[in-house]
Amino acid sequence: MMRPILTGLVMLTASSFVMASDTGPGCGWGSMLFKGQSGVASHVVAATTNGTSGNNTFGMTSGTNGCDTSRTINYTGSNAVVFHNMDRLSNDIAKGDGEILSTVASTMGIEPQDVPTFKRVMHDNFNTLYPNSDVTSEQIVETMVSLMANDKTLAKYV
Amino acid sequence: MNHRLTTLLTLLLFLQIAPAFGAPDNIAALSSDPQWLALLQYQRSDWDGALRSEVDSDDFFLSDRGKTNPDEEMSVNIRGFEQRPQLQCRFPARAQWLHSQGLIKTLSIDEGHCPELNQWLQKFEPEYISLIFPAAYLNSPSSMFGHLFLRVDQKNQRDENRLLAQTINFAANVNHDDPELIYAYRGLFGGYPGVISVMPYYQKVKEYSEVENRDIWEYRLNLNAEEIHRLLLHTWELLPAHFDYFFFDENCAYRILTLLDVARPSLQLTQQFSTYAIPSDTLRSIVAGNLVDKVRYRPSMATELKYKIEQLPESLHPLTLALADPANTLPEQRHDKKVHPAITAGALEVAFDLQRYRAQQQQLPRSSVADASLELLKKRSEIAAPSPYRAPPVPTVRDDEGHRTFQVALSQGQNEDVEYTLLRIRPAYHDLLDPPAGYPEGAQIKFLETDLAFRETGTLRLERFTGLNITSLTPRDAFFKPLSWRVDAGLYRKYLADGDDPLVPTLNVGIGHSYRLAGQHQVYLLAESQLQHQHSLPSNYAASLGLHGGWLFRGENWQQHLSLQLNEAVAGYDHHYHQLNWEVSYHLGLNLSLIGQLSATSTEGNWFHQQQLGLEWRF
Repeated sequence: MMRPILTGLVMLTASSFVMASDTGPGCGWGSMLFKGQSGVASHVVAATTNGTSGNNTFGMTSGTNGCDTSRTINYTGSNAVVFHNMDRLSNDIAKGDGEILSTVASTMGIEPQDVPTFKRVMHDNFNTLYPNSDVTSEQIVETMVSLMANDKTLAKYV
Repeated sequence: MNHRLTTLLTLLLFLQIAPAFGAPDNIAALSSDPQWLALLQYQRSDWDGALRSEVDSDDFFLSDRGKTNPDEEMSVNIRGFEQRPQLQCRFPARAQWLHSQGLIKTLSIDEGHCPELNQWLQKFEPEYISLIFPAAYLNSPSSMFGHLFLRVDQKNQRDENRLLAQTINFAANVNHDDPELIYAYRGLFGGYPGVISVMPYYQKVKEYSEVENRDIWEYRLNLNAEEIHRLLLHTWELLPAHFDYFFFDENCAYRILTLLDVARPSLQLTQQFSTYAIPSDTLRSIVAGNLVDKVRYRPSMATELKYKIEQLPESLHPLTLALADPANTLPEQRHDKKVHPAITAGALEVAFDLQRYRAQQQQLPRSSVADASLELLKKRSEIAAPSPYRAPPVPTVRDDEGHRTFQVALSQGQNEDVEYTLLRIRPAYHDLLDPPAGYPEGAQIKFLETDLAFRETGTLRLERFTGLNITSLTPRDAFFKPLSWRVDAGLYRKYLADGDDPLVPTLNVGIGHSYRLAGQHQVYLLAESQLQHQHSLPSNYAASLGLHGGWLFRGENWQQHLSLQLNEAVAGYDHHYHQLNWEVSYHLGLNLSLIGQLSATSTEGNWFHQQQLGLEWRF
C-alpha cells in the first residue's frame, strides 16, 4: 500500500522537473518556428549555468546546425541572420518593417536610401517568400535575391 | 658620513639598474604584478592563501607547474616567446605585456606573424564594449540572478546592424543530450565546464529576449581603443580554455570581471568578489566604478506583447483571442480576398505574437501552430498599414537599481512560552516581502537562508535553514496562462504532538494557479507534495499531500502575505499539519525594512503559536 503511494509522490515531484523537448530536426520555417526550451528544470538549471547549449560554443561561426546553405554561399551573413530569426523575419515582412528585416537589409549591403524600397518589395511579396510552412532559410534568401534582381532600384545590390 | 652616502647612492643606483642584469629578480617582482596574475587568471585561494589559476586546461600554461606558479610560468613564457616567436600568436596579450615590461625584445603578433589571430580580430571592428545584462523575467525566478556578457560594438554601429555585433560570453557548456536528471544535477552542482564563446548578438538576443522572455539592458562602457584591443587579445587566449564551473563564484559575471580587469588593470574588480558574484551585484560595482557611459533598454518579446495588449482596444480582445487559437480556421476569411475590416493589423499582430508565445511555453504543440501562424502572417501582409503599436516604455527602475541581495535580520520572537532573539542571514537573493522595484513580481528565490535563535533558556539553536526556495506566482489572465509553482528544500522545525519540535529535512514541491484581484492584490492556490525524513519522527518519515493558498498585497511602502498550508500525510508518520502564516514588511528605505510574522500551527489536535518582530538590512 505504502510503496505505490510513495512512488506516486516521487513521480509527482519528478514530473515537475521533466522538460519537454523540441520538435524533431528540420530546416523548414515550420520546424524552426518558436524554437526554445521551457519547463521547471530548465528554469532551475538556467539559474546556475546561465544556460548555453553544446553547439555553437567555440569560435565564431555562422552556425546553421547542419542545414544546407551551400547554394547561397554569397549571402552567408544574410543566411545566418535569416536562419536564426525565422519567426521574427517573417513577422517583420508581414508588417513591412522591423529590426530583423533592417538587419537583413544591412547584410545585403542595401544603402540607407534604398532600405524602404527593400522592405516594401519584401512586404508586397510575402506569399512568394513564404509559399508554405516548409520553406527553408536558404530558399527565403534565394527568393529575396531574385526579388531584388527584378526590382530596378534593388537590382544593383545583387 | 660622505663615504656612507656614496655607498648608499651606489646601492640605490645598483637597485635601479639591477633588474636589467639580473632577470630572475625582476621576474620574481613582476610575476606578482596584478596584470600578470590577471592574464593567467590567478586568484588567491580563500583556504590557504596560495595562488592558483582558475583555468583548468593544461595547454593554457607553458610550464608544467604554471597553474600554481606564476613565477616559473613567467620565465618559461619569456624563454618560449624569445625562442619560438610563433608562440606569441597563441598568447598575444601575455606577449604584449611582457614586451611592455621589457622582458622580451621583439613583439611578433602583427599580421605577418599571426595571420589567423589578425583575421579573427578584424571581424570585430571595435569601437566600444557594451556590457549586456539579460534581466529577470516573470515566472522564471531563476532568471533573477541575471546573466552578463560583453558585446563588441562595431564602428558605425546603428540600429540596423546592432544585432550583427559579436558578443563574448561565458557560460557552462551544458549538454542537452544528457539524461534529464543528470542534466539537472550537473547544471546545479557544477558538472559542466565553463567556456568562453564568441557569437553574433542576434543569437544571444534570440536566446534571452525571445526564448526566455527576458528584457535586456545594454551598458556601453568607456573602455578606450587600447583597452578594447587588450580585452580582445586576452579573449583569444581564453577561447580554447575551459574552467571547471562552479556557479556561485566562478560564474559568468565573475569571468566578465576578469576580462575587464585585464582591459583596464586599475579596476581590480575581481577583488571585490572573492566569495561569489551575483550578476546584478557585479553590475552595481561596474556602474559605481564609473565604467558606464550610456544605457539602452531592449524589451523582450513578452514585454512587447504585454504592452501591445494594453494598447489593443478591449472590444478587439475576444476576436484577437479567437484568431490566436490555431483550432479556429476562420473559413469565411479564407475565400475572401479582402480582410474583414474588424480584423485589423493590430489584432493580427497580437494573435501571431500570442501564438508564438504559447507555442514557446509549450501550451500549444508547435507542429499544429505552423500553418495557423503562416495564415495569420499572410493576412497581415495583405494590409499595407504599418504596425499601430508603440514600443514599451523604459522601466523607471533598472534591475541593478533594486534592493541589495545579501540580507541580515535581527528579530525578537516568541515560540509558545519561550522568548528568543533571532539572527537571520540570507546570502541571496529576493523574498516576496522585499521591496519589489527592479525585481519580477510574485517571484522569490532564496539560497542558504539561516535562522539562529538565542533562546531565553540560554541555548543557541538552528531554528530554520532554507537550502533553496524558488517561488513563482505569476497571475493568469485572458491572454497569459502561466503556471505558478514552488520548490522548497531545507531543514524546518516540525511540531509533534508531545510539544517537541525537531529540525526535519523537508522537500516541498507545489504547482497551481495565481490571479490578480483589483489593484495590487494577488491570490494563489497550489497543490503540494511534501517529503520529510528524520529518525525523531514516528515511522522515521512522512509523505504528505496538501493545498497551499495565499493572499499577497503590495502597498506603497509595505507588503503583506497571508498563507494557509493544509497537509495530510499519505505515508509514514500518520498525521495532519495545518499552518496559518501572516508576514508583513514595512520599508524604511530600499535596504532597510521592519518585518513582522505571526503563525499558528495545528497538528493532532494541538495548536502552536509563534510571533516575531524585527529589522532587516540588505547590503
